[in-house]
Amino acid sequence: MHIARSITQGIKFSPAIVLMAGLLIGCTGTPPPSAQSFVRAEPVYDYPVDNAYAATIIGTPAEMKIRYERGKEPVERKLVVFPDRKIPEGFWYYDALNYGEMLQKQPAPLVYIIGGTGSGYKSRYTMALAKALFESGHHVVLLPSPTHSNFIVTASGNFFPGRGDTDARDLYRVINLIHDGLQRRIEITTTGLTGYSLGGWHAAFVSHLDAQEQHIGFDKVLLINPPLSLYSSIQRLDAMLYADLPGGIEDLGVFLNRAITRISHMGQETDALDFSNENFFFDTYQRLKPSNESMATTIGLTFRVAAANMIFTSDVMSKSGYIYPKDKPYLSTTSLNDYLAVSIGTGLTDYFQDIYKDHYLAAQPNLTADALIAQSSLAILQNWIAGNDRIGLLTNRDDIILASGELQMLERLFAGKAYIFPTGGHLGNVEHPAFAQRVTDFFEGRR
Amino acid sequence: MRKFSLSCLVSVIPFFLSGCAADTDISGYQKPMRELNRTESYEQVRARFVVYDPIEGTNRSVYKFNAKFDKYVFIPIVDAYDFVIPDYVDRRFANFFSNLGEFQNATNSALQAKPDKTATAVGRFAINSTVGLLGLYDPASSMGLSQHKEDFGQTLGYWGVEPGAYLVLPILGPSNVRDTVGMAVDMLAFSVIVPDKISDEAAYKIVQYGLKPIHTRANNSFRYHTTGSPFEYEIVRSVTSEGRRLAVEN
Repeated sequence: MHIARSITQGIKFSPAIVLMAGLLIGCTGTPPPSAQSFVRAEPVYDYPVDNAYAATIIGTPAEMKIRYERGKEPVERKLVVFPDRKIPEGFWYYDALNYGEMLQKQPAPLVYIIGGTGSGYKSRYTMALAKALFESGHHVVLLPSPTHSNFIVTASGNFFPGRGDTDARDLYRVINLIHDGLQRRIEITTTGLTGYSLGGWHAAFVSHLDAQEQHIGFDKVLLINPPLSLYSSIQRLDAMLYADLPGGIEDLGVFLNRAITRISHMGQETDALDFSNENFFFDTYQRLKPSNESMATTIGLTFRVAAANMIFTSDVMSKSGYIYPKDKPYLSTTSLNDYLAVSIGTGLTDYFQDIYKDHYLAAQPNLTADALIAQSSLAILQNWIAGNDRIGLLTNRDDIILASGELQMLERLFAGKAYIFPTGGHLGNVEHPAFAQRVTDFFEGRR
Repeated sequence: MRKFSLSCLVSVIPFFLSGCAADTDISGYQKPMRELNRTESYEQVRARFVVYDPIEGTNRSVYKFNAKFDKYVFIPIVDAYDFVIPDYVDRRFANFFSNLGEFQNATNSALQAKPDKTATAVGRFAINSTVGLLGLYDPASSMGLSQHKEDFGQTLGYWGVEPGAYLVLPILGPSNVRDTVGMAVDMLAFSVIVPDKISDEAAYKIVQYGLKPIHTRANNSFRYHTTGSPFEYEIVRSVTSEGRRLAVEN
């Protein structure tokens, strides 16, 4: 995952891609010959990957990816949420919550974007959504997920992320602090909220909380590729990890060695393994034609690493003694080899059963484990969603985080408020122009 | 009095229980719920990620120093560089330094008894230094001669020298004993072939010791502690070690 991130950050545009992008921009961006003939060009949805696992890994191929003229990057901001919090020296680099801002010079609508599981404010998808919204004239604030280690350390109230109403309180506290600050600096016409994956799920709980507290008053709330039931999606992703690990987690080494060997052989054939190639994943997929099982394991592993980061951080901060000894100081010089191994071997399902459940059941005497699982479903907000015409859903028919029947339940829950793309897997098409258009249209009230 | 001592005893029992050997590890800390030796599988996962790192404590301190140096010194300079130097000029620098690197690629390919790769490096240097205007452009790549990087660490590895202990070098970052020696030898060899007349020039010193490190950092997208992982040290160690292993193999 981290290699993937550095690859995507280090991309360089080949002349052909720049030319293609130039042509694309030229097609949609040239001024119309006369005012009468101006019709908003609807981008064609020609997303090419119809295997849901492959789409999830590859994303949008470079030549189709939406390009932005202004090329602005978010400005990093810091927010101290709990001034009295003592942060262990091992987390010395987290002095505050890091978030991103892209602000217009003129009065404009504002949209908050919440990242998915384990992602910081500057993830591939928060960036894609932020650029689309900024380019179409919105102020944008990019937020990390409450499951990201920076958020857990600096902004989590109880260090046990993953529960709708508790995470919503943490996020709402952060959003309110940012919002109050922004209102002194810029003019905000209306305020919207969105998030992808777990961040989409969070957006529903945050807007539900806001409806009670009424501090912000979100005009538009868009859930992008959310899980219906967090618990169900966690189980699916945990199971996916083992799709190509017949002997369990101990096969991980064999799996990784095989993948590295195959990819490096691919490099030898072409004389150079070009990680700066923007289409690295697409090319690798086309050449190696990995099995669905291998791809499921790859996705499961990405998710597992994010889960390991979250569980370990939560454990250190809450001093629960789950993976890290509760009485051991956490320092930058502390060797973490053993804890890394155990964290990678720990799924979110284990975390739920072993520690999360007990924490919440102890805090609320008449709560049961089944009720806790039921509360992880958007279905508990059913009545509120039904009576709310400011909320919308954008997802894909083949989203791999949904169990069979869950897409239909989402469609019923969001009847008349959902738009569903036929392909894209989990977030694979977010950088496609047609997807970006749907997002900006939603916030501009065109659909 | 008896009542007091009884309650005192009762309150002391759990203390002893939690203090007994079964609940603490060898360093005296309480054992966590999930631990390494509970199943064998963790050992295998551990073996996949862990690299020989006997001076880990020191390495971790240097890693922290590097992260701070990066944040307060290197990145501000790099940001200024990115702001001032147009991409076009940066690419000329990239080609220029890369062309000088052909000396290292050629000698190390030769030392690894790889005549075709040696010829490629020599050919690239000849074309790019002339047609490519002293290496500012890279016509050799367009002609199908793509670069193959080799250094003395790879040469040592090729002849069977093991990487040895993982090292985090101040400012330079992740390495190991073998590659650190290799880097020193490459630098020494390069300084020998550059004539004193050139190496004594202030302009050369500015380019080699000022511009080159800044350019190199500017073209590396890694930023400390942006991965969101508390295991960043381990991940960087594993990925860079794996990368060097593959570089030696290729």
